[in-house]
Amino acid sequence: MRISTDRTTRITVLISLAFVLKAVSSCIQPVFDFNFDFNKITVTNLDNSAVYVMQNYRDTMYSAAVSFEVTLSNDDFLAAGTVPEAETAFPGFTPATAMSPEPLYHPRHHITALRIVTLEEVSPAIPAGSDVTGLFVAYVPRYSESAFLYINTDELLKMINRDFYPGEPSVSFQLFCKQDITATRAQFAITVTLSDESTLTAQTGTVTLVRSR
Amino acid sequence: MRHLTSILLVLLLAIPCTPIFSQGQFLEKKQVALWFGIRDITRDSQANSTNLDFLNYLHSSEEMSEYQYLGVSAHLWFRGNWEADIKVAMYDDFAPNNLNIKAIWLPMKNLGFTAGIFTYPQLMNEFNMFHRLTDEGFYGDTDSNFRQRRVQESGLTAGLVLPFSYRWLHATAYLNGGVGTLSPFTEKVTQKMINGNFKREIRYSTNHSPALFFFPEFELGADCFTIGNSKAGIRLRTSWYSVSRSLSYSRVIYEWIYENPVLTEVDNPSHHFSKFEFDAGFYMTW
Repeated sequence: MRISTDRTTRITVLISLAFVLKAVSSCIQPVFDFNFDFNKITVTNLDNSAVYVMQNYRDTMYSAAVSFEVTLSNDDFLAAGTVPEAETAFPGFTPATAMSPEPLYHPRHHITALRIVTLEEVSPAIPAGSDVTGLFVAYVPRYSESAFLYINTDELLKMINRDFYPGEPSVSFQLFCKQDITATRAQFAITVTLSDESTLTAQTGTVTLVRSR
Repeated sequence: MRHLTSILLVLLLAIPCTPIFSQGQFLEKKQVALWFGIRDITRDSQANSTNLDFLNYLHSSEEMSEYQYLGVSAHLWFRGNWEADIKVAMYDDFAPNNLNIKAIWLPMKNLGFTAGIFTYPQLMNEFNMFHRLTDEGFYGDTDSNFRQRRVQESGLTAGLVLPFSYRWLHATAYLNGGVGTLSPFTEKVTQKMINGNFKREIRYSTNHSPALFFFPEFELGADCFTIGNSKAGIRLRTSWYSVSRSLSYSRVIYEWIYENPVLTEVDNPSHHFSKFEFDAGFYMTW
């Protein structure tokens, strides 16, 4: 007995087969590990006059509460928009995964040094151009939440150098000046050196200092 | 301590029902009681000095009673003029952590000797107020929560016991003295300068504070009903506990970072402290 199938049936079977192949090949093993380089440094002002430190959108600080937040990041990644891609993407469907773990960003180069130079006179003994790294202590909000006090800048490097950074290719830390600055203005240049000898430098804005009564 | 007292509470309820303690072998008589009481605390408060004095912050108020408690007790009369008295009480958290256990020997009808142990918790409130009041220019304590902790007072007692019975009325006076201590504890206060970056962390670690105390008690029971071989009645009890002690501690201060701590041993002056208790309830003796 001969079984005949018409053209419509054959085409339908072929299209269905192609659909199944596409659907199967779109289920990919997700890639959530990325390598990156720090290529951007940003500095923002902090307001540390109260119990808890806050963002400071003005250029005024108390002379005993000079503080900044430094963020090192990679400008090329848009972390929130990063889409995991299949190594052999099959055209047609958006790749899909059964799970969505947090992406991990592995730095190619670690941070080896931090240097802070004042661009204004801090006191008669500390003129503009002096290295004032030792006048600052630090706090890393994401990684030292349980500790109340600060850490020194040597410990800072140990704390911010990680094998990977979860969520986004960046790390932030806060710097607090230990000295009550006698001048009326303050400005600093912050330089970070990476293990490939490259440096990233940012200047704070010129901050007007007011004395606490 | 909580587990230990829970076990003791279970034992307390089980002992009178245990066959080995059946009358005629070891026990001549036994009694269980249930009672409710109040505890009033009086303590002096000394002016702030340069050092925090935790004893200024033991819970004490103008009200008649700072604490209320529910208790159960067992009193056992052994052969050979020996007796045991075990009291367990609890606050509104129903943790049976108030204990008063005594062994009693009565060589004479109306005079005997007693020895035992006691322990009970009390509250210490807002000790961070010292720093908030004295450390000008600082947020005295960055912890905005109500600071409260429990301290356990424990002691060894010894003294005289004076029992008296007339028909249905039973009275017992205890003249106890001994040595007691507050349980050591650790506390931490974190401070930050107002309008400044400066921070410091102060860590306290208190020492044992042994002190002599006087602890007289008086109990009164009245048999009301007789049911078979058992007697049921009402009981009243009052006690007064008086002690003078100081609380010394080690203080470690960290500034800016957790390095180079400054350690200071602090001795504080003595405080007078007294506790008055009154409770009433029911008992059954058989």
